[in-house]
Amino acid sequence: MSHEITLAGGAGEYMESATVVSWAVEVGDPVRAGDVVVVVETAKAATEIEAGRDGVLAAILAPEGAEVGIGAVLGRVADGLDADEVTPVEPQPAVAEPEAAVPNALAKAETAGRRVGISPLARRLARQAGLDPSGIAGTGPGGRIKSRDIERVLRERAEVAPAIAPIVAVPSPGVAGTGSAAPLVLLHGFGANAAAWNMVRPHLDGRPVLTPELPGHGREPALASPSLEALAEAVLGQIEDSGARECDLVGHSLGGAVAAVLAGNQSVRVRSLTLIAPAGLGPEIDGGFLAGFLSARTAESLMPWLERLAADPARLPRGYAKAVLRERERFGVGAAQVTIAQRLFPDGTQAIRIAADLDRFAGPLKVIWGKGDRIIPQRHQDDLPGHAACHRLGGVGHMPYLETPALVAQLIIQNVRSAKAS
Amino acid sequence: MAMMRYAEALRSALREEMQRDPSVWLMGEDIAVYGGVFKVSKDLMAEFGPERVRDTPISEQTLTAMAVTAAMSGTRPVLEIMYADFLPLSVDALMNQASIYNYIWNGQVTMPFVLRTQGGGGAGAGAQHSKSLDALVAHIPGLKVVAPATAADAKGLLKAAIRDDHPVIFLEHKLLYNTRDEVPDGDHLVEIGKARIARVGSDVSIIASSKMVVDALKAADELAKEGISAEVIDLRTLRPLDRETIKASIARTHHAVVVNEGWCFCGYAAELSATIMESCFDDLDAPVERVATHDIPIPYSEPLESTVLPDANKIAAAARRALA
Repeated sequence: MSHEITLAGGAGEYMESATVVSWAVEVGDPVRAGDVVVVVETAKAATEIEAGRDGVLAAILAPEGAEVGIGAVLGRVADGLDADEVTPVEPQPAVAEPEAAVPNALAKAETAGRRVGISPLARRLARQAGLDPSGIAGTGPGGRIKSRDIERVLRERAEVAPAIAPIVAVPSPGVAGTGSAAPLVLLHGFGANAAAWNMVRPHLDGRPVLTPELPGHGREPALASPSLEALAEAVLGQIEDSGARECDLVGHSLGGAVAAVLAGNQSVRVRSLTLIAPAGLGPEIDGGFLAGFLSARTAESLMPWLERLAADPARLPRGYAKAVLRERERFGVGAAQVTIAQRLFPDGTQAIRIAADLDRFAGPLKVIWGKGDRIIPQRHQDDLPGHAACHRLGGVGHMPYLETPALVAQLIIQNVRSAKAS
Repeated sequence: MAMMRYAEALRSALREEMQRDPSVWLMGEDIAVYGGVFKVSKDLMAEFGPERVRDTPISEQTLTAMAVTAAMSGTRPVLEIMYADFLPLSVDALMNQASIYNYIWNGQVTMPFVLRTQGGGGAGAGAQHSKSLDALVAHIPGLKVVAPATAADAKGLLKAAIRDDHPVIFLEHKLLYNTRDEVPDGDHLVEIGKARIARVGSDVSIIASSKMVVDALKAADELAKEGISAEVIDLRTLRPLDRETIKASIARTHHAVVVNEGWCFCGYAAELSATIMESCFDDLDAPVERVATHDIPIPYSEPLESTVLPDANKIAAAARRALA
């Protein structure tokens, strides 16, 4: 004669159902009246159910995780185990099917192979590259595989470029879930990279942002023959990879010239165009800056040139020179940038022209220029087409997005909004 | 631009807002005749009179409830609680009144008051005058919490806080009052809820607020000597948190050190760490490193106090661990 274990007495008066949290004893274990045998959780609290008599736990009918109705029998206590009781009884209809198979499967997987310690980034890179990380030796603490280990393996396979590029080309975190909203594409200038926009981004109202990079400036491989059109094509590829069908385009300096060329592309519609001190509107450019910037190898020799970028050098971020040098060292971008400078700015002269591209662009066009720009003279905007809005910023040099990020962001958003209205 | 001490920047914010809006007034312990223990409200009683700059008894619980009702009645009080250590006395009014009235009365009341206070250790002020209770107030929905690290942000955020129609807890730090930096001229406002990149870097993101930004910048200088490029994010606002700036930074650096001067357990750094885990997991190349105060009362003894509190060395060490 067995005794049924039920919710009666142990559960709250308002209860409709309960979930079995844990069994305190296993089938076959002896129990005494009053021992806690099972814990269930109701909407209000966890409740301990006690054995109603002495004996052994003869059967568990509602395994851990099962949801049971108010009248359900959770298990049985009997004098001993007989053949009938050992056989698991089919759960009653009210009892949900437990997911017993899952923990077993996990346990098997963990014991079958060595568990691989790997950082989330490294795992993502490995997955993108189709690598099985289990064979890779990790160099992080405790042998954890870090991104450098994946990069090392890929380098050894001479596959570094395709695996690494997507890190930058994909939309930044936060873009996901914004649906079909056209991203704001921010294109940095010569010698910079996607990080250039860090000061502006916090002011952009959380809009989806893409920050592609010019070839030879970081993660995008350098081009053997970097014409303005070839640069534009490489950037367009990154925008296309994001899945965007249209975008609002912002470009600074050389990035501004590239943006102007992109404005007429056929694959991703450009809704609005915001150019910050763009190249390509006149022949003058500070050749001394280009030469000094490219040849500097220490923070001390680089800083005087960087200071020329801003009207008030104190507004440049601390550690700016070192950050620039660090990027150069990391990506070996020096030679690539020299090639670009020789091709586009030979002998300290701008050999690129964007006036015709701007004439053709029918969307909102805004040009932002610092009155104190010592790299590209702001008078170049005097010959812009009539539909362009010109903003001349006092006390600002060649880097309005660093020198007055909130204002630049505000102007960008204005231009983007005017595109929506059109 | 004008070179200004943090305390002076706060005073100029109070003065400008009181000149601009006659409904702005100040109250607190020893703020009027004495000018505040950190002299933030010095000379303001002489300029605006004892009706608008009021000394009060030592009664933080009552003062906070007064600020709530004064704010509901159409004025814009700025309440000074002398030490953040006494915020617990204010918490009932904050948690059961200030933060919820706008909600339970369906937007029919606004709650435009600012509670200024100062916290932090490092001054040998002992266990009752050294705490950082960021987490205590940042935990409460319906409050905004700001913690400026620079004089410029102190001024711009205080002006924005006074103009805000919701309660703003304004956390200052006793060791920042005498720090100086450039403060923009004119009607300088800093938007609540926007972080600032205090230093650009590419290897590791150090996320800090208030005086910990100063320590993080020192740590970044040390790390630079070792070839490590650290980015320092000054949160400026603790709630609402600027997640976008954090995400964008970690998407580039892949390593994060979170710093807060409050206690470690259940502290604000834990919130940052969880936020990063939730929104940047696949960008992380190492576990988030947390730097916070040991979970004990702040000691009076200088060597013991410096052992307990976070500093530049501990932040730099955490960055090295992240990059190991």
